[in-house]
Amino acid sequence: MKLSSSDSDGIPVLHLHGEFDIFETPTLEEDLAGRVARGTARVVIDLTQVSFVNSSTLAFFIRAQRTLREKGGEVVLANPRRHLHRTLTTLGLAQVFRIVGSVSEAVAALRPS
Amino acid sequence: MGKRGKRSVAKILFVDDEPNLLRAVERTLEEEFPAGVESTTDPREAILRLQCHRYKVLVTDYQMPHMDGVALLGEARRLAPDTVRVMLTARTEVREVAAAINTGQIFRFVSKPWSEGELSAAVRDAIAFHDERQSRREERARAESERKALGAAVFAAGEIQRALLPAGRIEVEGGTACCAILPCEHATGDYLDAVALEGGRTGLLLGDVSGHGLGAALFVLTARALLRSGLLAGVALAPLLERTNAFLCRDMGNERFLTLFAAIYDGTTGMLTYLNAGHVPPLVLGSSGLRELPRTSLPLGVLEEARYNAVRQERLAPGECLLAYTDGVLEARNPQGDFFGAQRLRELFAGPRDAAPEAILALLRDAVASFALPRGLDDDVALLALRYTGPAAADDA
Repeated sequence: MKLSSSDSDGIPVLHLHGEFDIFETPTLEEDLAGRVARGTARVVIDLTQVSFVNSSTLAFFIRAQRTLREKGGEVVLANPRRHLHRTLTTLGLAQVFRIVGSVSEAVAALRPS
Repeated sequence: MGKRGKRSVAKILFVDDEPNLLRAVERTLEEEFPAGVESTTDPREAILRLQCHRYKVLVTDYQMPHMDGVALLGEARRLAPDTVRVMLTARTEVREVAAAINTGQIFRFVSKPWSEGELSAAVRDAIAFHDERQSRREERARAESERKALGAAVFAAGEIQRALLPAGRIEVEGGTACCAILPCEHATGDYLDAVALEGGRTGLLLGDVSGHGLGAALFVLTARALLRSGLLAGVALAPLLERTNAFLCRDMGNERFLTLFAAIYDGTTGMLTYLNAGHVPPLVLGSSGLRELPRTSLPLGVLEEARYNAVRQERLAPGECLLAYTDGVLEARNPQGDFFGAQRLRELFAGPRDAAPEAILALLRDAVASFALPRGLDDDVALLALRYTGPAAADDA
């Protein structure tokens, strides 16, 4: 299964597995749209098990960030592998996302203070 | 009636040489299928009708003079292959018609005498089968038509791109340059441009829109128009990229972003003035090895408020070679799933030290294409190489 989810302290965590390209993006879009419709504004995307993303999936991450920021929330990216981290850095997306080293760190960052 | 054209007149054609049975069947079926039942006692008459009219179902007896039911159904299959075929058989004739059933000529057979409702049920099922098959056929034809229309649109976009995006040698002062695009679909999401400016300068742009195909190609052409017109109007790189970014964020539906290496190359001095908006860092090969032109800014189309004022400069010494490329090179995969990768690219680029840009691009293009065989490229590939052969900077003399 490429996408699974869990809930940590009321914060949804999307666990992505394997490779993500244009074919997986609709599944991600649909999942997020459902959560936004139910009032979710803060999401962790767990990249621990992601071996590859292409630009379509990165574009989804960016759109997700825009959408949740408009609702006063945000997306936090958790634990990307070295290659993906380098891609995110090359693109400059560290300016757009908080990128942290673990899911627990990401959940803590989104927990209401 | 001739064969000029078939008119849809009735749903069911019933053939049996017993007139009394025909009348009884008509009374039974017309209740459920009003004005939809025709009948004849003569199979030859049935053939004429099949040539001139369209029926959903043909029900025929087996034992008839002049032509038996199997022969009639064989003709019906030839003349009207969409008509669903049902045969009436006496219980003693089942073996004789089994072969016809098994060769797929018959949808169903109904034994005489049939129980109440059995014939109606068989006809009803046959009509449903006909309608379902017709619906699937129309759906397939619609999908094929849409696919062809989309294919034509993608092809047209590709043709427009090929006319507008440069390929091959680029005329520059103080050096030689060359570029190439390898699209993985007919229309590419990669972007290349070379804009001749005054004073021996050339605008060099190489970028990558997220995704590929028709949508990405249209995004590329939009970005091209904005960037090219700005450069020709003398707009500096920082305000040019800020304006372009703002437009793309507001007006292009937030679906895509563009990584971009945008440089003004001065052929009189070898100076590159550039912004790298989230693009894989271009390489410069000099006598001391390889160096990168790092990222200065976010990609375009990500954040409307993003700034693009971190303009940098890099001077090319005589003989040094610039290589800009898109990540389709790095992400090309072989059948074992290995990526082409940055290391392989650097080794190939650094190999032939004094090669002309055309030779460098040919080497890289062939290496990437053959690496990805037989599956082909997963993403577009764009390459630009420039070797500066002008004078050294005054302070280097």
